[in-house]
Amino acid sequence: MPALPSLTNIGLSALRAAQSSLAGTAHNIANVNTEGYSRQRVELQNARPQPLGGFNVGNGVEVRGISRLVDGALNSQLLVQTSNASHAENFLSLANRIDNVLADPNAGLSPALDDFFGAVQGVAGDPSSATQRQVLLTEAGTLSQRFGLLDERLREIDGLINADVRNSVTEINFLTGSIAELNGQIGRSAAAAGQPNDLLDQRDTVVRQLGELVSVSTVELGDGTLNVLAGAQSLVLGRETTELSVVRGTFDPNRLEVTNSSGVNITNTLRGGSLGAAFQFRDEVLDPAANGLGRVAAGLAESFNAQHRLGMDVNGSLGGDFFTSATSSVFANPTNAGGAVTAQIVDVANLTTSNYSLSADGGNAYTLTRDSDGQTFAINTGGASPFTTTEIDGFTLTITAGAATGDTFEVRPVATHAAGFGLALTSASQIAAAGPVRGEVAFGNAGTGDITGITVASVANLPLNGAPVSGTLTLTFDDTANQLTLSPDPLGEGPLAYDPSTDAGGKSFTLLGGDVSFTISGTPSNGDTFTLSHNGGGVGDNRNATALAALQNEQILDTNSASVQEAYGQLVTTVGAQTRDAQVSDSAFSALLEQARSDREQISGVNLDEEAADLLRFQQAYQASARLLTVVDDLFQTLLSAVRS
Amino acid sequence: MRISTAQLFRQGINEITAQQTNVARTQLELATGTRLLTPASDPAGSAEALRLGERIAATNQHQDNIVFARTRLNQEENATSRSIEILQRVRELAISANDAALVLSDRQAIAAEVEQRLAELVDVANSRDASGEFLFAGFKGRTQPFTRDASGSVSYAGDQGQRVVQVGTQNTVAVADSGFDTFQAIRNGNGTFTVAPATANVGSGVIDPGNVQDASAIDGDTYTITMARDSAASSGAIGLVDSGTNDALTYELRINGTLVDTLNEGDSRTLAQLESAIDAQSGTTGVAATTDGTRLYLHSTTAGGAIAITETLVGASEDADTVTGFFGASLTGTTTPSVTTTLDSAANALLVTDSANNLELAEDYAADAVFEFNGISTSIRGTPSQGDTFTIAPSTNQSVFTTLGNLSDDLDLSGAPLSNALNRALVDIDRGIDNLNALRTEIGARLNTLDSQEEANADFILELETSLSNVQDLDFAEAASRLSRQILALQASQSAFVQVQGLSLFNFLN
Repeated sequence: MPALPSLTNIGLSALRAAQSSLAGTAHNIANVNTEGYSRQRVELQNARPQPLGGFNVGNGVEVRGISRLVDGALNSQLLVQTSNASHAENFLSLANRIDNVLADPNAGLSPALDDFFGAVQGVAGDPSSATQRQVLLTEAGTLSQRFGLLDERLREIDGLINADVRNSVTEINFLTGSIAELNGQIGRSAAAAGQPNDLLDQRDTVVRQLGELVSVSTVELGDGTLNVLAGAQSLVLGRETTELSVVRGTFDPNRLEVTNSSGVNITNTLRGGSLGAAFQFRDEVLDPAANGLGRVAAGLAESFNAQHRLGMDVNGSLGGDFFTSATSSVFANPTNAGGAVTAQIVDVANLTTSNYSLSADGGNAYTLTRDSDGQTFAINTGGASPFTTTEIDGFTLTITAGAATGDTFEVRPVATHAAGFGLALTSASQIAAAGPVRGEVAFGNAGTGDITGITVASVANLPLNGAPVSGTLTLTFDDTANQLTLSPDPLGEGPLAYDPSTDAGGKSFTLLGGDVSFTISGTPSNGDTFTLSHNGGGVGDNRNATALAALQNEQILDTNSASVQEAYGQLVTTVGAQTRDAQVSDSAFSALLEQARSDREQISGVNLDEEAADLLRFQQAYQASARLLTVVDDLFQTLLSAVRS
Repeated sequence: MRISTAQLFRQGINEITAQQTNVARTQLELATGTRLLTPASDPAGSAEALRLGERIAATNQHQDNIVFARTRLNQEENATSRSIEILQRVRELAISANDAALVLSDRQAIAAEVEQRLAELVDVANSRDASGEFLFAGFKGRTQPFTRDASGSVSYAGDQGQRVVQVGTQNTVAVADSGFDTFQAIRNGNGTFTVAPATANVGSGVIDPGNVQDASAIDGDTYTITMARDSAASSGAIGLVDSGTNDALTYELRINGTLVDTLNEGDSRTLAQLESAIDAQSGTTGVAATTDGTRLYLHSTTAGGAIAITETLVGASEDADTVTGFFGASLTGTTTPSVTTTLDSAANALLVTDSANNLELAEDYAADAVFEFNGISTSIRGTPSQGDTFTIAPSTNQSVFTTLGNLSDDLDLSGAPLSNALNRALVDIDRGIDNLNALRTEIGARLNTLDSQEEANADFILELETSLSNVQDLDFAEAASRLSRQILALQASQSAFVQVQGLSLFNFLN
């Protein structure tokens, strides 16, 4: 039979245990809405029994400790999914921006292209009309503004990403600082007073906040401190942090990148999270989209200019450039020893939307790598400087020697062309709607010969009203030799064989070094003449305008598989598909995050009903313990009264 | 399974947010009427919508081009029709002028009207379109194509360009014809060859403009028709009969008094020999001979010249010495008999020679009788003189203005030259009318093309718009029913949330 004081002790221990349990429940209830809180449970154990004779007499209850209900695996899972979901969310939000830029039917490129080519058709219909010409000039101006506007809106996204990078790096530094500080507190507390549950929750929360910015992995050490790494870059080691800094991009100063405290550029190691999404978006969506737009601009400017230069304006002069076109940009790594590289577009059909990296391999050897698929092109200058390569993907590189082995350059053939797309013409009369050469049959011809289908392939020897070839070229038919003699024949190209008995259906000729082609048909009589001359005064001629209008449907881009508008369509499809992918990823990853969160909550979350039940349970235990003490009192009084009487 | 209170709350809210997103999206779709809110809504569909939009814009531009082309072609058709009317009026004038009852002043009055019509035609040929561009200047739209100088001749300053506009994806239509093709480059005569009398002709022969009998036989040479007389000459051994004493008889042939041939007994001549003998002296005699092997034709080298054939028997000593000359004279006796035959000036034969003077045809002349050679057929009427010539030459380009100018000038003539000139003017005018008619027909065909192309374009636009609508337009019925479903789901979520959140054990703790 236990001694009474022991009974009092048991009652007191029970009272204390119930109080502690109630306090635990109260803590849980208090933190029901605290982010990252893990519910705690007061662990009780029966107190060490009191040996009494041959028995061990129970000695009440004692608080063994306060446990934190967590599952480490679920917490890691939640961290990973937090990074993934944050990555997907930021990627989607950036993709939505670019998607919206292209979605606006009034701000998109397509209507401007339609209006522009419509105006070209208008000039083709009525080439001498000053109104139609002015409309074309205005529409061309609108088109170049539209290119500029779209490019600017894409560059705005660049600016947003820069702001994002700056803010993220500041926050990463703040969060890693917090983790290091918590590491210190946890280390001290664990040594002094056991597991600091609430500090651990705080640290897990901060790590998850860090995980939202960038994908991190954690290693918990024996002393309770946590090391945090992003890829191979350590961010927190115990109580030490690695301070990250924002720097201007190696190649493109308009783009921010990240370095560690040693000044090493770690942009490419920062993956996942919202920051990783920003970098990935820049490489995978923004650059291809901006380059896609640049390629459309370059293709249109180059092909339109080329055709326009084959025409003749109102004043009888050969057409000049219709649009201005930017030069391709090449960035040199600031650490390069020297050398210089320029790029020049030579064939728009072969342009891609990729950027390229050029590295000096030592000596005369260079390697050009297409960023989109890693395809490499070996270049050897053979010691020449400057050395111009043969065409690679529609452009050539001119390399000036001086680069040391390992020096790098970034080549962006079309990145600047949307912004650089402008109107070169200053007056509507400069629009070269006419062809520069007219062909005529002489009035006095007795035969039925005709000259038709005059086309101009280059203007080196045109327009026939000055050097190098001046005046009228006369072709005279000689029916004995069945040939057309040329007068004058500056390039020694005549006479031209023409046999009416076989060629009356039409025979094509090319003259003036390939500049001019035409067809002679019918049966000319001996001495009949045909003339080719400068089309002076031909303001009603629409041949070149028609050829310009035909460029709308000509597949001049993407290895001659897409017209200008189709290439723009491809850009829209690509961005649309990327955005759609991002939407799918976002909903998938937020579902996964929700699942991970729910899994963690199952173990660690507070359920108020559960706590209410516990409250009742512990309240009853408390009441029972208190009753125990009154029982002890009753027993004691009984004993006292027995002694008194 | 444990559910934490916060999780229960979050799930409810997430559900409501998701439903609200759906409702908002459907609401936006309904408000804008499109299901392509951004390219991400349907990436392939967005590109398709762009492509369709481009086709619609381009086709609408084609429709605009058609409107422009129709205006131009209507103007051109008006100008062409007016030109035809003018030419028809001139044609009537030319016919009325071919009336023997008219005197010179009458014809001069007609010539004055022709001049007026010519000026009017120049005006029409210088027509401008609505924007002030000359219709018939080729590419030189701002250059006045036709100018009439002080001498009355009209020159062309335009070129031969022809503007073509795109009216369909694969279809173009010419919206202009140069003045060169319309008024200038017109084949004169009957289109293949021209006929013309020599101005020196003295007879009243009027040549028909002729027809092409066999196009493949026409070789483009220039032919001369020479009117001649069949001399009825015979050939062979000269029939000198030397009776009695053996005389040295000779037969002398003189043309217009010049000795061209002398034959002795036993000599003979073929027609060809006679021809060369006569031709050898034609410089002196003014008479040329031509034979086709069976007949010998004579004609003056100057129109209207006389042909006197004198046959003489020389050296006869007996009356019985006789000779029958090649030209039919029967000479006998010792008095150096001589017979002179003068040929009629009216031609009774025609000879056609080519540019190398090869005889192509020789036959009797009969008024209005059609003769034919080398694919060419024509006829002559009236009374041509021997020695009159007509030329048949390949057609050349002649502008309608020249035709009218010539007519006006020729109305000063009279008689056969006038008839010939009027004949010529009539065919030339007909050629001009034919050319303009052909052009008008072609313009009509182009206008028809425009009409059918316009319909085709309209159909195409409708088709494209239908496709575009299929790609981007919202199915309102579907969207509306979707919206009500989504609203219902949202309401359900909200209601469930409130009810679930109301459940708490604390409610029962008093």
